[in-house]
Amino acid sequence: MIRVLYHYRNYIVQNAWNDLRHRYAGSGLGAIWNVISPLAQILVYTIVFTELMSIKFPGVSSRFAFPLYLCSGFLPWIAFSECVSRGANSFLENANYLKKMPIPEQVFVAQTAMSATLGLFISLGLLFALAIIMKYPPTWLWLIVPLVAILFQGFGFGLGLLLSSINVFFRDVAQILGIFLQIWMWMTPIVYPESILPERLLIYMKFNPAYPFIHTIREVFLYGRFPESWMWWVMCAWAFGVPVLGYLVLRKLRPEIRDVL
Amino acid sequence: MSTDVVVQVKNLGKRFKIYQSPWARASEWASLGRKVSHQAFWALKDISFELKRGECLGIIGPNGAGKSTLLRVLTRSLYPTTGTFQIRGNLLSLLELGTGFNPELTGRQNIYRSTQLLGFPQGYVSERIQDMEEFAEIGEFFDLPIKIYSSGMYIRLAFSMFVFLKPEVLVVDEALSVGDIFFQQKCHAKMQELMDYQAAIVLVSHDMSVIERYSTRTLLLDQGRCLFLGQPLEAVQRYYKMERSFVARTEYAGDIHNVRPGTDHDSGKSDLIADWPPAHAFLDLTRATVLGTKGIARCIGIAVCDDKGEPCTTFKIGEKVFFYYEFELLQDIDVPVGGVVLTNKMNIHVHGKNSLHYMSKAPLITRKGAHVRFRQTIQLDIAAGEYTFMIGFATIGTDDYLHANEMYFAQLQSKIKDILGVCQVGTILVRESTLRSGFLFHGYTNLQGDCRLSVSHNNEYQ
Repeated sequence: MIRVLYHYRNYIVQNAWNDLRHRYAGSGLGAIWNVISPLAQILVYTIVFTELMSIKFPGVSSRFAFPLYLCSGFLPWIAFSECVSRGANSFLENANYLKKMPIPEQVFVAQTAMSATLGLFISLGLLFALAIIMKYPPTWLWLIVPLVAILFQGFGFGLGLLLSSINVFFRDVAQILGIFLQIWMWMTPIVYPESILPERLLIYMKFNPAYPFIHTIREVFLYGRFPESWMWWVMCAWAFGVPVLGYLVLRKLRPEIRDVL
Repeated sequence: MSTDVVVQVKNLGKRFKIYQSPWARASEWASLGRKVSHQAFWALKDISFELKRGECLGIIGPNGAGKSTLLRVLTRSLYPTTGTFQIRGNLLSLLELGTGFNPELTGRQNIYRSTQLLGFPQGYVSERIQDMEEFAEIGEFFDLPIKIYSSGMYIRLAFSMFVFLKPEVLVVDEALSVGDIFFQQKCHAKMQELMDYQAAIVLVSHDMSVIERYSTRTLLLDQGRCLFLGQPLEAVQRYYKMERSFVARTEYAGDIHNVRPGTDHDSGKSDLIADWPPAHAFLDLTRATVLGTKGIARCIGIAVCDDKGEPCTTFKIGEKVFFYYEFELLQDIDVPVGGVVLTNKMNIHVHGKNSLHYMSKAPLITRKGAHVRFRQTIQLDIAAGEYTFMIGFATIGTDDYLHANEMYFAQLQSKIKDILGVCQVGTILVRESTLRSGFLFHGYTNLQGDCRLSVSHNNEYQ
């Protein structure tokens, strides 16, 4: 699989880049919408949580800290969920190509994952800039953030790959996925702080695959703490295990995928 | 495989699974293969062939025979269920003409991107991009996003890309019949050029003249099976026989005594046609389109034969085709008239003539229940190609018939009352002939004529 993806690397990267540039083609602001829509969401959550509900955050005193807290969890999540949901649809979206050309199927999932990841990097860059403006001292540890983000996206790529093969045969999968991602987001401390979770629920976070990624990014970015080693193991397991599983499923279903497109 | 063989296909088969609903598939998956809830449909079965450099394999067959499935397997956009195939070198398919294009990118960028997808290295394309740009003849549009292209420019761009990539194997599917005539000519020139430099070509077409012209061998497919693999001419003939399916009709009453002859105005009796073809020669009329008035007559049978009385649909220019056709009268009519119209691919009526035009003898009154048989011979002095035919049945009043000799064409036509026209029964294929036969000419038909020449060296003409 890796060989195939490497072979098509230029195609994947170019298409992902074009996707970002042209998704909002025809609109006045164009590619800037990639950034505006998540920012608007962040603004809404910030106002609701800090102004209306006045939730207090342990360890961060400034009232501007919430946007940073929110962004550091919310931006990776948006990229991840885009990666999964668009990935699951990628075979159907690219049916035209699959029907006529001998391009390996996984290339299209990789392309959507790459586009989501590029988008994430751009928004992370903005986040870092925002943090510096807000006088958060940058540290070398910040360099770990993109690494974790890549692992998170790897996990998303795997899920997308797994679901895309199944979605071709059972198109309900994409619909169910949309609902499931919503629930998943609220079951993960992304827009609310971990501290408001009761102790008994916090234990279950171990079983939430998204939790270690979000948690690690925040630990590193906000508190400057290097993540514990077991966190790395868990993240790597998801980031490498799920794509392998997805690939095995794809390999099993591959002979029939193009038949039903 | 030997060095010359570029495509080798062994026992290739493709099965599609047809499920009634997604639930049927789910239950089959859940049972881990113990339960089968799909219908298997074999679109291809046991296909084997080899293709060498410089060869062109033609693939023909009726719709749904599996031609496109075979091409899609060869281009690796479908996985075969059984069997194997090997392709040496680059395979390029005109199936995908322009499918990989991104509307936001310029023509140049698209060419780089598409060729990359097709597996050509960047340097390979860079060497040829100049030629492609010139060939496409779209000027400054070459560097503009292709979303603003006209559809013609789009095709030009796509095609010029293929022209300059030199694949070892080229797959062509009906692509030669799209676009305007100039584009088609370019396609044909390209085909020839490719064959000259020893590429292998796989060609699918419904145009038998294209198949006969290019293919060195022809594969005849029907319902996913290989019916024939060999000489193009024989494959084409088999195809025509197969498609027209000479069905023996049980209802056909081939007994000459059933015909109740009317009275001939000269001898009092019309001659019975003696050499009527056997029942199996008659074409299947179930799919025929019948125009005209219902309830006056009905078509009993139509046969197309060669001069030996054998059913035949392929003729050389200048050969004679024999149409046999029979109608049964459901009402009394005056003088019966029968005729044939030949129509070419451009829907031009190349020739049409009826028994009246031939001044054939006919009864003055024909009673209900009578069977009227016609045997019409046409010398095919027309251009090579595929022709459809229509068999017409009509009537003309007794008085008009008796005075027909004095009438001009238009006047005569106005007196003829059409009863039935039977079309879409079949086609005939006219093939090229050699110079020796004396049937070489330009245009649609060979008109009677003669041409002599003389040369004078000392100006005797004055």
